[in-house]
This record gives sequence, structure tokens and C-alpha cells, in this order.
Amino acid sequence: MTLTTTPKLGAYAALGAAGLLVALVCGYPEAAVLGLPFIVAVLAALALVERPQMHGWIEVDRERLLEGEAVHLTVTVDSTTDVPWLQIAWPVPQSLVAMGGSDVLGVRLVTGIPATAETILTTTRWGVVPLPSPLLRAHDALGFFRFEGTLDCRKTLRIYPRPETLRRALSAAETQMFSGNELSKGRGDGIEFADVRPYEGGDRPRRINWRLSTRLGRLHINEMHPERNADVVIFLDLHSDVRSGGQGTLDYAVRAAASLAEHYLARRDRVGVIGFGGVLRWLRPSMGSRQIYRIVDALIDSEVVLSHVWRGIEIVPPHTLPPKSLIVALTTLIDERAVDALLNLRARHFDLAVVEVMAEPFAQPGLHDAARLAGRLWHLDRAGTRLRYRRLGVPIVQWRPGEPLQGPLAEAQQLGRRNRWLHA
Amino acid sequence: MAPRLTTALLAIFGAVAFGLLSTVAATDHTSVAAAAGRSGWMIPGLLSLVALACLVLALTLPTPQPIVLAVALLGAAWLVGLPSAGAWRSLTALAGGWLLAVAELSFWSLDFRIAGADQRMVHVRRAATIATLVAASVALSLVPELDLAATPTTGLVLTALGLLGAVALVAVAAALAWRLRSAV
Repeated sequence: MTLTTTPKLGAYAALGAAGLLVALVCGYPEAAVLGLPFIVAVLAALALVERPQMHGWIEVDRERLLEGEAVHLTVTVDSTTDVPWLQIAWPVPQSLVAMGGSDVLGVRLVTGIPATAETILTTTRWGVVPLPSPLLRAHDALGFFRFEGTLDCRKTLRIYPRPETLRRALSAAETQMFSGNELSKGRGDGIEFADVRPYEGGDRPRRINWRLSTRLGRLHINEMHPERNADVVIFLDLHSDVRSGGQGTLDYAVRAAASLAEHYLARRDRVGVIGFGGVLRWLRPSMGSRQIYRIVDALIDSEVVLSHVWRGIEIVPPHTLPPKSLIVALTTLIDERAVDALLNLRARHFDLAVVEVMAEPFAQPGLHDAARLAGRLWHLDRAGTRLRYRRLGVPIVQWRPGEPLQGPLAEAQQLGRRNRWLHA
Repeated sequence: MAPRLTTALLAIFGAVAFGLLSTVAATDHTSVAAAAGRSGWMIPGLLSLVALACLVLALTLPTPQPIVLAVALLGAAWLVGLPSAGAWRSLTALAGGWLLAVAELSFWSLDFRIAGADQRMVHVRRAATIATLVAASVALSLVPELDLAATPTTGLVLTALGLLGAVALVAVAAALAWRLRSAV
């Protein structure tokens, strides 16, 4: 621990010395008497000061939690010497908020009796948050010296985004081989009626439509749509994050990605993630409950890394984008690289849907004429980008952060169906 | 009431009382009053007022430097107004303790700048420590005070005693500083 002296030490020494000096120079012994208490105080402080030998540990009630949940921190400090006033301070990280009380706690530490200080922090944003080391400041009994140091702490909180419950999400145009909840276009075993056709050798008798067969005098069987799963790739644009007031577009995009991943995985779909930004991150599509943990663990590490390298979608490993997969893009449509990459995917005939995380609520319009003009040009440019997607038959919807994601997804589903019908 | 405000008010109250006492003492037949005539009592009064202003400034800003000036001015007010003889003169040891208490309360008030949610025992302990320190220092100050009445205020013996005391003081301070250096 680092020793620092307080201004009090110098002040008392000066007052004591001044008293002695006045007594000597002016022949006033009373001046020495007045200064004597200050000298006594300084000498007592020097005699009594002792370096505190402290050690401590931190306990966290849980290291993995959801956004908005509280984490209970307990710091326990033990010392081999008495500490009249020990201050324990927690530097609160950016994505956490202290729930009431003070973030500095003062305790008296008696030898052999550990003192504990507790605080409750609430999470406000997803992410991987290394807990800062608590600061310790021990004062001597007379307030002349301070010993300052930190308690070694290597704990990390993993705060997961709180997913929104989605009743329906986008349906994939093409299904895969495994069984799932998505209605396939093909014919096979299933429960959704598709059509009737004349009986052929090898057909299962239980599928014979007896009513129609009796009427037509020839055996007919019911055909069904099989339920299959789909491959879904969530494309997260990590090129830009428009922030204001402690919130940003990326915060909402990651929450939406987690919600979509949870929804599709619950439907037995294979889900993968591409984080397309200054650093490319990907997770190959897979299914099962373990995949949701992989995805959210990958998502909470998401951050915007500044890069001027022009990267295209071709650098994404091929297995990350399986054929016939549905790509749900969450983007702000600000960075040209992400816009081009999505257009490139569309050109490769991927089933693409774009959910635009609106940056407008976080971008405050300027007050000057030039700023207002720039804002209008920016809006026009974004409208032009949306038009490019619509011309290519890509369903693009705007999602205002803070509002339910269900609405834009339903709109995208309708647009996708219409585009597919027009295309057919 | 907030602890910081309480200690600050106590310090200011102590300083006001000390200044008043110095001024009242100066109305007696003091050397300064004798030199300055009938309005000689005003000098310690003015010194006390300036000291009070410094103290209020220090506690309001808050910054520790003006506290030193305030305590020094209060001490000067006492010395200036000190009668050459009488009951007031024997109270100098108590006045020293009083000044120490004012300074302690002022610095304690400043310490509350960095305080958070402290346990009550921390403050009780600090108050007890201050009381003990003031009492001990007054008791120690009474030794030379008592001695002053018995011994002459000039002479070779007194000078030698003073020199010996100064050397002893420096030696003790050096030893303690060396202990501090090696211990921490």
C-alpha cells in the first residue's frame, strides 16, 4: 500500500515550529506553550503510525446474469493491525449502476476480526464486465497518514442480453432436411394437408382419402407438407454504433439477435451468427440448447472495432452460410461495407431479410442550418439505400429501438411473402 | 445534521469563542493595550476576525491551507492580548489545547469530503481520539506553564534548558521519522 501524508502533518509541524520560533525570537514563552500541543500531536502520530497488513477477498453472488438483474458484491478485509478508519470504494463500471447507498464505505478494522462491506450493483447493458478492484484507503488514528492500495480482484461478470419473447419470426423460404417446426414446400410425412393424388403402389393405406376414393371410384391418398427445420444466420452489423445517453444501436441489435436466436433454436432450427465489422466474427449454424449459450457468449463480446479495411462477404467461411439459409440482418445501414455485403448476399440468392435498427433516435439533429441540411441529406441517403434493397426484392423493415421487435418481423414476413410471390 | 456540517460548526464556534476570549483578555492591562492606548483591545479582535474569515473560507471551499493561517492568527491574537500577569496568563496551556481542538475539528470536517457511508463507530473513535489528544497535550503544556511561574524568564540556565529541549525535540522527531521510514 502506498503511504501518503495529509496536509495536516505539515500544518501542525509548521504551527508547532512557529510557536517555538516566536518564543525564541520575541521572548514569549507562551508562544511555545501554544505551539506545544501541535508538536505533541505530530510526535504522537509519528510514534503510533503503523503500516496496515491487510488482505481481503471479494465474493459475488453470481457471475452470469441477465440485463437488469442485480449482483451482490461482498468485500471482506482482514488485518493484522488495528485500522481506525478503513475506506472501501468500488469504482462502478460503465454498464453497472450502484443501487442506493454510497459507493464508499468506512469501517473500523480490529485485528483478527474481518470487516465486510457490501454493495448491490444493477446491470444496465449486456457485455463482459471485468469488475474493477476495490480501492482501500486506511487512515491512521490521528488523520496524519493515509495508506492507499487496491484489493486484487479478477472477477468478470458476463451480462447476457434479456431476450424479447417472439411469438413468430421470419419463416425461411427453403427448409432443410431435419425435422422442425417450419412447414416445407415439399410433400411427405406431416400433419399439414397439402393435396390429394391417385394411389400408387407403395403408398401407405392409412393415408387413403376414403371419402374422395368412394366418390371417384378410385383410390386417392392425402399428401402432407412435412415439418422441417431451417438454417438461419443472424447477420450483425458491427461497423457502426450510434450512441446517445448511454444507449446505442448496437445494444438493441444484440438484444434482437439474442431474441431471434432463442426463438429459432426453440423451433429446432440451426442458427449461426456473423458479426460483420472491423473484426469478423462468426459462429457456424448449429442447433440445440448449447448453441444458444454459444451465441449469447459470442454476442456479449460484440463491439465496434474501427477499421478502414474494405472487407467483403467473401471472407466469411463457406460453412457459415449454408445454402438455402435465411439471413436476418440487423444493421443501421450506415456503413457502406455492411450495405454492400448484404447486397452481395442477395445476389447469391440467399433468402435475406433486413431489420434496420433505426439510428435516428440516437442522432440528435443540429441546430444550425448547415447541420439541418446535412441531416436531411443523411435521411435521403438512407432512404436511397432502402430503395436499393426493395428493388432487389429484399424485405427491409425499420425497427425503432425500445419498441417490440415482433411488429417489424411480422411486416418483414409479409413483405417477404409478397416478394416471393411476385418473383414466382 | 450532516457530520461535516456539525464538525465545521463546532470548529467555527470554538474559533469564535477563542477570539472573544482573546479580545476580552486584551481589554485588561495588556502590554499591547498599554502601547496602543484605549483601543488596544481591537488588535486581537481584528486578528480573530481575520482568523475566523480564513477558517470559514477553508471549511467552505474546502481546502486545508487557510486552516493553518486561521490557527496561527488565533494564536497571535491570544499572544497579543495576553496580559503581563494575572489569571489569563495561566490559561495559555488551555488555550493551546483549545486551538488544537479547533484545528482537529476543522481537519475532521475536511476529511468528510472523502467519506462515504461510514460506520458510527469510526466517528465515535475519532472523537475519542481527538479528546484524548487534546487532553494529553494540555497536560503536557501545563508542565512548562507551571514551571514558568517558578523560574525566571531570562538567564543562561533557561537558555541552556531551552537549547536542550530543542535538541531533544529534534532528536525525537528524527528518531520517529526514521522509524516511519523503516516501518512503511
